[in-house]
Amino acid sequence: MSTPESYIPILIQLAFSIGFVALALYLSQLLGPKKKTKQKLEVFECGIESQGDARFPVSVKYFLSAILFVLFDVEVIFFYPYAVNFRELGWEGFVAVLTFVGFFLAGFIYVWKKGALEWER
Amino acid sequence: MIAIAIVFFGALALLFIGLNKEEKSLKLAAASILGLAGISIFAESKGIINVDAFFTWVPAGMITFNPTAQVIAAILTVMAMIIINLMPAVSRKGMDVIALMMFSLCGGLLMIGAQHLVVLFLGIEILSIPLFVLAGSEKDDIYGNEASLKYFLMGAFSTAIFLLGATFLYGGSGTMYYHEILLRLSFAEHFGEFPILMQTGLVLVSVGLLFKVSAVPFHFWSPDVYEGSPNRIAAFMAIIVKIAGFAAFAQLLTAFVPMQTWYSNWMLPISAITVLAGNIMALAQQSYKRMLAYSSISHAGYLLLFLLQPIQENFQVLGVYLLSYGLGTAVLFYLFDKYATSQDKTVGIFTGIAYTNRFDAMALIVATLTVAGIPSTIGFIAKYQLFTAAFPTAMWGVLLALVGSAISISYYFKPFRVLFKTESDVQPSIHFTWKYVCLLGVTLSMVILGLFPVLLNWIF
Repeated sequence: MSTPESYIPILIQLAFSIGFVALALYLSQLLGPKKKTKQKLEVFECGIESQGDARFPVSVKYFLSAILFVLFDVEVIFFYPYAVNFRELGWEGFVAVLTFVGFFLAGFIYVWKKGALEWER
Repeated sequence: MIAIAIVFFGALALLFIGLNKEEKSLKLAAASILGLAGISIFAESKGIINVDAFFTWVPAGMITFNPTAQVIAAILTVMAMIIINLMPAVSRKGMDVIALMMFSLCGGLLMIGAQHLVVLFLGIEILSIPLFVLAGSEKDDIYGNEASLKYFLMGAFSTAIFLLGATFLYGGSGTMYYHEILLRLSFAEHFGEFPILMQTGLVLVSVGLLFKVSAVPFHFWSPDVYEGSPNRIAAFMAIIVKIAGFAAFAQLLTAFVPMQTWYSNWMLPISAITVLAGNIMALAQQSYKRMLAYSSISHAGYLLLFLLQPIQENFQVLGVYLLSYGLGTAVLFYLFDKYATSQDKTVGIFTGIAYTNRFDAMALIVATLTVAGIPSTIGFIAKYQLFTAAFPTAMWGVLLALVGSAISISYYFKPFRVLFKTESDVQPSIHFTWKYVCLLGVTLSMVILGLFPVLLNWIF
C-alpha cells in the first residue's frame, strides 16, 4: 500500500515536468533571435517610463477598508451553514453563534472607535 | 482552564479601556487581570474552585490542565506580569500592545493545556499571530518592520511544516489525541516496528516546534527578530514563547514515550549543536541584545537535553529551569532597555552603574549569575537538576552542555568588566518607583530560591 516504491510514479512525473520546463526554457533561449540594443534592455512597464524607487509610503486606507470588509464577509459566510442547520442545533447552537457574533461585534466597535472607518483623516 | 477565559476577556476589556485611558492605570489593570488569572490557576489546582461544569461543550480530553500544565501556566502568568510591569512605556498612542501581549499569552496557555494536535496548533497560532504584529509595533522603525516580516514568513513556514507533520501523525495512528497516539505506539512497540508515517510525522511536528523555540538549524530568524523588535516584545518572545513552546513540546512527547530511543538519536545531535553554536555565536556579538538572543538559543539546547529522556516523572525539573531562565532573562532585558541608547547597544552601556545606581548593578549581577548557572542563585539549582536528570540517557550531550556553559560565562560576564569603571565622580541617583519594587521582588526571589531550594518543592 504505502511502500516507498509506490511513490515512484510521482517522482517520474516530477522529473518529467521539471525536465520539460528546463528544456523548453533552454531551447527558446537557444533558438530565439536576440537583438541587444539599449532600448531593448530597458525595464518595460506598460509603456510608461519607470521612474524613482519602488519603496515609498503608500496610503493604506483602501487596504484597511478592504481587509475589514473581508473579515466581516467571512463572518457572514458562517451564517449560511448555521441557517441551514438552525433547527437541529437548537439553543446550544444559538448560544455558540451569539458568542461568535459577540466577539465580532466587539472587534467592530473597537475598529470603529479607533477611527479605522473614517476615510477623511 | 478558567485562566484562559480570564486573560482573554481581560485583554478584550483592556482594548476598550485603552482607547481613552492613561498608560499607568492600564498597566495596573493588566497586572490585576493576570493576578486574578494566577489565583484562579492556583485555586483550580488545589480544587478550591471547579469550573468543569461550564466547559461541558469542550470535547472531553482535548484540553486538560494536568498538574504540570498548571505549574507552567502559573509561571507563564507570573512572567507576563513581570514583563508588562518592568517594560517601558509604549511610545505610540493606544494600548493595543498590552492587550495583544495578553492575547498571545492566551495562546501560550492553550498550548500547554493541549492534549490534542489541533488544539496545540490553535495555541501556536494564537501565540504567534499577535507577535507578528507586536514585532513591528514601532511602525517607524525600519528594523522593527524587518523583524515583523521575517518573523511572519518564518512562522508561516514552520506552521505549515507542523501541520504536515500532524497530518502524517493522523495518517499513521488515526487519531489526534495524545493518549490515543500513545496507545497505538505502545501497540506498535509490541511488534517491534513503528509506522514510517509516525516517524515522519514526529520529525515534522518537532521541526515546527523547534522553529518556535529557536533551536539550531532553525534559529536563523531569532537574533534578527529579537534585535529588530522593541525590547519589551523581544523579552516576551524570549521568555513566554520559549516557556510555552518547551512545555507544549514536553507534553507532546509524553505521547511518544515508546519511540524515545528512536527520537533521541536525532534530537541529541540537535541539542548538542544548539548548545555549541548558540554559545560560540554569542561570543562574537557586539550588541548586548543580540547576545541575549544567542544565549536564549543556547538555553534551548540545554532544555532539549531534558526532552531526550522519557519525560513522565520529573516535570518539576523542566518547571524550575524555565522559571529560572525566565526570571534572569526578564531582568537582563529590562536593564538593557533602561541603559541602551539608539547609538550604543554594546556592554559599554553598563559602564559605572555600580556607582551611579547600585541597585541596578546588583540586579544585573544576580540575573547574570542566574542565567549562567552559578551557585547561590536559582540558575544553579535549575541547571544542576536538569543535567542530573538528563545524564543517564544523554551523557555526551550533558558533557557538551557543560563545555557550553563554561563558554557562556565569558560572554555573560562581559558587563562585569565595565560595571565598576568610573569616568568621573558621579552621584548615585535612585528614584524609588513601582518598577523598583517589582525588580527587587524578582531579584530577591532569584537569590532566595537559590539559597533555599527547599522552597521549590513547596511551589511545585
